[in-house]
Amino acid sequence: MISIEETTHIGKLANLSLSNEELAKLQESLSEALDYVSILDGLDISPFSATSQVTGLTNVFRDDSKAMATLSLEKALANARKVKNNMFETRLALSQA
Amino acid sequence: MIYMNLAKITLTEAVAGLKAKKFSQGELFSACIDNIKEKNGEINAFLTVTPDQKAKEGIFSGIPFAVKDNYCTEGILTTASSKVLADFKPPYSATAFKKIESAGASLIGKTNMDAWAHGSSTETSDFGPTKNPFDLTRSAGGSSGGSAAAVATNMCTFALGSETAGSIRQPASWCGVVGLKPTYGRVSRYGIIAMCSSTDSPGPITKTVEDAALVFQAMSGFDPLDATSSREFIPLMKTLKDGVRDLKIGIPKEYFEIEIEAGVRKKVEEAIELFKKLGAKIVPVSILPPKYSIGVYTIIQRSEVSSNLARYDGIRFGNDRSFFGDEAKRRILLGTYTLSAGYYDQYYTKAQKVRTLIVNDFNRIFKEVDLLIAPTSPSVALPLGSSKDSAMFGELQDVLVEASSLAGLPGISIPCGLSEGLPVGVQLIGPMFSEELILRGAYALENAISH
Repeated sequence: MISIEETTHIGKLANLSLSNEELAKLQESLSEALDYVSILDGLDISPFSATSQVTGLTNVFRDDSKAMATLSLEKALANARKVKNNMFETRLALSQA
Repeated sequence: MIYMNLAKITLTEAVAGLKAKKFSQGELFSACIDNIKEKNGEINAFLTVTPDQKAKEGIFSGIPFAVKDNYCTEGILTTASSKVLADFKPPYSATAFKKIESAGASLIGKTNMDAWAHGSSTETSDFGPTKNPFDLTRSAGGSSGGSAAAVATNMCTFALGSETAGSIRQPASWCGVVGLKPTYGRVSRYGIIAMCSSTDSPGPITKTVEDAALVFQAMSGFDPLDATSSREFIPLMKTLKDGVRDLKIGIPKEYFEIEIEAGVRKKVEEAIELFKKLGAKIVPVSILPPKYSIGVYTIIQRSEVSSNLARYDGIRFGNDRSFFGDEAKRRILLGTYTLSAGYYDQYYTKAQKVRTLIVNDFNRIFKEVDLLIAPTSPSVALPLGSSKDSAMFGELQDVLVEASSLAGLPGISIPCGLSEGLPVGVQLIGPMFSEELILRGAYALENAISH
């Protein structure tokens, strides 16, 4: 069982604001899912390497010669909530000491 | 008018009919719009309708198609059924959508889905579930439930969906239509709102197997904007109608040992009998028990979800993270946990290793047989509300499609009859890039079922 403190910590890492009620529910479903996936503990996987790409691609490069399509300034900013001087306006990421 | 109900025609019939000038592009489009006006209120297949027909010259000129709402469509609302994107109009379009548009087809609307494609019932949609056309108290399946229901009710001639594990095949099965999940990498993922990047596969939902082959060919191919898209040759489908006399079809024993509704089992067994009559050789094979793929899929999918949904910060577009629904929060949280320091190896790396075991298992099987046959879903469409309160609902629903999705394999679901008035789907799974073979098998079976 995952503790409520752990659940709160993971919520913070995921940048989600969660109410106490939500945290309690999430603690429960997180534990349920982790219980389920422990089914894999019974398999001997020591001979296997990890598969992250099923078609066998490794590093994919492209020629640096042709410019890929880019968005115009107008299009790029069209969905922004706040725009200032043709830039996205965000809240402060680092607070001053 | 020659047709009593023009909207009912298949894509293949529409292509031929338009060419022979039996009806006009406008007549076909209006017939589908009329159906939307009449039925969408109760079915809730469409989130956005685009009633002004645009059509380029091409093989699908003027033919109405619907697109799952996780495909970016430039200037047209694209929500992925989440309130986070309630007012998002993308500045560019998904490649697969553009390919179908440049083949001439006319967008008729964007379809409902599970929010962010998280689910197997469309019940996690922030805009209400899609109802099953066969019984409005039941689910259309998901996550591409809107696309499947739209095709089943003739609100469009064909639709585009996307599958991560079951999201094309399962709703197609529950709504009685054809759903093809192509090989991973066969269709570009560019512009499709990312869910599980290592398994996401866009594909068609259609009325017939031949229709699926046509749309598949049009939407496939290498895309410089998706580095994981494949340069593999797109099949010409010349063998589509060649039959199955030369094929060996495997019955994965373990897939029939899980709990499957009696009516579903019966219909799938009948389909197997039909294959025998058609001359295919049926052989039993053994496969890794599907419970393991549920475990692997849960870890990999949640991990990739937490990473993909991290970009929704409400700054550049969309609303902030407080707009995520319960299911998205649940998945983000589990994925954040399985990727976090100290747990990464225990969960994510382990799951990727079992994934190798699954890939190897299929490689061994496809040395013995050409295709696999199994039910698509263990049940017919379930009543609305069935997904409530289970963190594992989607995974348990998708038990028969997860392994093939994790291995990147193509699969198709086609209708094989009714059980107590509700459609049953049977699926064929093949090796990597074997869409032509799968479609050939499905075409033969479809013909045998309808005769």
